[in-house]
Amino acid sequence: MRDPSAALPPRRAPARRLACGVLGALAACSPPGFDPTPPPGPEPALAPAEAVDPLEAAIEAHWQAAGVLPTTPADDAEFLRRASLDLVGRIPTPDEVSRFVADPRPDKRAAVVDAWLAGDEFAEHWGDVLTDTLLDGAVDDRPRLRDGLHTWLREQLTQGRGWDEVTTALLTAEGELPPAGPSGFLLAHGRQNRVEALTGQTARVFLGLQLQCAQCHDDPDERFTQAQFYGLAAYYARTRARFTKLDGERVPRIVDKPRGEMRMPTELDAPGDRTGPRVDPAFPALALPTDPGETRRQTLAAGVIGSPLFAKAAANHAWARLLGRGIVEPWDDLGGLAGDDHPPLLEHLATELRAHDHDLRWLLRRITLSSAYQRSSRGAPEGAEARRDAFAQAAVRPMTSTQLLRSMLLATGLHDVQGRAFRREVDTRRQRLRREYAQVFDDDEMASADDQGGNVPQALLLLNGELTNQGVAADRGALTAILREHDDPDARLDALFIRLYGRPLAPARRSELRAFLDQRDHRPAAYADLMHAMLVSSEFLTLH
Amino acid sequence: MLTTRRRMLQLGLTALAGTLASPSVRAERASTAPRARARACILLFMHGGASQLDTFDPKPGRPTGGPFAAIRTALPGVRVSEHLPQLARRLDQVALVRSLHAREGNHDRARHLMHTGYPPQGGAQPPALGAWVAEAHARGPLPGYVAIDAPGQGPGLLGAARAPFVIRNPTRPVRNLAPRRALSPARRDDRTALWRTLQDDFEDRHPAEPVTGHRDVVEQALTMMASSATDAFDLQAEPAALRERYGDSSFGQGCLMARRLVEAGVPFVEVGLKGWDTHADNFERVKQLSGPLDTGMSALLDDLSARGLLDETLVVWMGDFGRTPRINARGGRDHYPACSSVVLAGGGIAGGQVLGATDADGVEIVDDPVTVPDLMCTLATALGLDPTDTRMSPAGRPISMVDGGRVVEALI
Repeated sequence: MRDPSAALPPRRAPARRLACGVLGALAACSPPGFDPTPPPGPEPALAPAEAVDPLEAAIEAHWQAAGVLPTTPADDAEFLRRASLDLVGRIPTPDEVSRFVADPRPDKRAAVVDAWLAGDEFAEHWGDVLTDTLLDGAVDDRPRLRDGLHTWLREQLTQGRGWDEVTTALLTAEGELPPAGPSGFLLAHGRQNRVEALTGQTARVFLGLQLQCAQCHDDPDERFTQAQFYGLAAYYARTRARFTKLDGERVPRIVDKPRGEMRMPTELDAPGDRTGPRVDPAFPALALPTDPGETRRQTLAAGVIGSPLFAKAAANHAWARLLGRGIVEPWDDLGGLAGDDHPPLLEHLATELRAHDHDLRWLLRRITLSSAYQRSSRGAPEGAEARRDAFAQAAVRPMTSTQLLRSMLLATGLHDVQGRAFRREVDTRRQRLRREYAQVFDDDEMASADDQGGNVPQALLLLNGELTNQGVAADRGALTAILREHDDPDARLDALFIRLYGRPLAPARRSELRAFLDQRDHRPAAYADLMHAMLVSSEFLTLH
Repeated sequence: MLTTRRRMLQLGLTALAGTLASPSVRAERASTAPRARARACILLFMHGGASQLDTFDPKPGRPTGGPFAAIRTALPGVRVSEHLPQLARRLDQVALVRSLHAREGNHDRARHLMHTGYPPQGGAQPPALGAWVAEAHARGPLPGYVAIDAPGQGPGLLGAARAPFVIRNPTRPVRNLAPRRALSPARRDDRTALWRTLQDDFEDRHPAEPVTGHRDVVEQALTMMASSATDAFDLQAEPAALRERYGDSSFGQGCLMARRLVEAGVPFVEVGLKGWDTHADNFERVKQLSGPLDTGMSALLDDLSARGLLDETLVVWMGDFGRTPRINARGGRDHYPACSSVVLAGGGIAGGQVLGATDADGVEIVDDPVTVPDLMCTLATALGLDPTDTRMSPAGRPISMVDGGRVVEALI
């Protein structure tokens, strides 16, 4: 973070905290949140704190405006698992769970968030998140391009670069694709002279505007005109993203020409042709600098980061990633050019983000420590949808393929099994597994906004795939270690639950599972089957 | 029969579809509604966009015609490319449409259009025809929409249960249908019982769509795994001679799997043939691709016909778009959505006809232009679906399943 000393506004203390110690004691003092019966209903908001944090006030006003009462706050285990998946892209380790739950400090949630944000895992994971966002809908997202962008974004996050600086670098990148560099955005969307695709993505990702429809016609909702679309496209009129020969190798490269103008397409033009009137670079949402840049793209970058929509799009995006939906939903559709009719909560968060130099780590810390993020995902069935929509109850969200793969490797212990040969095998397999999980889980064609339950190929991969099956059987995996370490079946159950679910086993469920293990004579296979069932269950596969 | 059809149309297709949706009356309707004879569809999708000029709409001797000869077919006066000799002999079984007109010249956008009838647009989520057919006709443990060596297209507002089940290679066992190391039935049952316990427990505390949806698809997967119907994926069960007739290509073997799946009750199977994006070296590449196409599609028509399945199975050949009459400097042809060809067979389609025509150079459509929504209306009607069916999108906006258009009466 660029300004680590920046004092955060005072935060309310979480309402419920565990004061119990070691792993073994967890089950004994399981918090009310682990009671399998649903809580009686929404509880009133937390007691007012001594000084009112303006973001907290905005969140409370948001709940009131939606007419909902928030659920109870998330308990420690619930918070830790959710924040771990969101910030570092994996479930917490058993060690992290037991240390966190035992930690008596009142500010331990802030402490663990800060520790994660300072680490490599965060930069790796959010490098992934941002790469996915930037390359969404790309014409060309070959691995080399994706890796180059990811490596560069990871470095920017590690160095605490602001989103404004990152955006400027992305929009003004030049030259060929380096092993690590910002040119991936322009190359991925702009190849083959696809200036329309690049224009649409620029408006969507950085300004939260769905401009692409205006490519062919004035927007039916009268938000944008086709002339405005090509006015924005005109900033790219002199830029070419193409492959050129460099030392005998074909290399993608961004080239700027000294001249070149944008023209509108006419009704008669074949797709891709533009023979209509000339359009000068201009776009109403841009806050253009008084001194134009040396190139049109420099002017564009300055105009984008100066726009009031810029911080809103960034804040809404981060909020959507962490809470399952944007304050304005979808996050990349902030509406028209006016930009002044957004919920006060978004206005406020965007204002704070600007005041903190567009620092993404600051933003993620601010959101994860807010009372909206720290709601429990449990609540009475009545009104649950309205509460989730207004951030008064935590959403249940499927993991992404990278979160899932990392969490699977961690849960099964396949990520750190001893023995060089086995580790090498895991490493080589990891690439293949990553591809398979990405293929099966991230195919947008297969997803639909109203159905997040997955699909049959995903279910088959989980039930019968290598990772789940080898993971529960591995000689040197997590299960073997648990069985070796503990003789007592109850202790084994506790360890499995902490490892996979990040929480102790609820007393009401223990007898059922004990009975099963007893019937199977506590054979290792019975534990393996339980672990398999856990890995395929929604409690493991979702953030909640 | 024509009168009956017309009256049906006047009565309103909505009412008709309403009754068709109920399986109990479907059989009875079939006798009085010849339009809806097909209960399954096999879509042969040419990825990249096949050159109509070098397959089904040849222009020999013209500057745009290229080097291929055009050969006689089973339809007097109709010629096709010399590299499709087997299909030429079967042309009396198909309806050849030479006048499909569209405006999408980008692969992704065109593929979306050809699968859903809609160009992609923000927010709206029209389903692929395959997902729609799956919703209407799927039964039994197998998925309703299978895509072989093709990505298929999303189910949109119909939800993930109608998503295409993708088979990457028809000649290899389906991925993850069983664990690599076999598990005893007792342990399989243990795992299922334990999973249900844990899933129910979590669902009680978190009744939300991602949880119930996950439960549904895992149950679907478990049913499929336990069913012998998955034998339909195993091509080894076919006699070697028949496998050979489909040709030694992924496409040919995919066609064979499509027939097996339709027999097993899968209502929509898409088989992809990749490589038609011939911006360079068009003629050599089209020649190479014509072999597997000619052999695979011909064997499919024969096999379906021999088993009495052709009458109730609609076979459709199409791709992203057509290709330019102009031959470019690299001996290639570029994207040309303005004119392309579509082949229809079986499933109540009136075979033995050519509909529509392009001009002498294949630049413009001169007769009976057909739009993609027209085509979708026709396919939907042949499959017993109501083209005017309107659903609510997740955003609460009504979306018509077909983007306007009209049924091309001559084809049914």
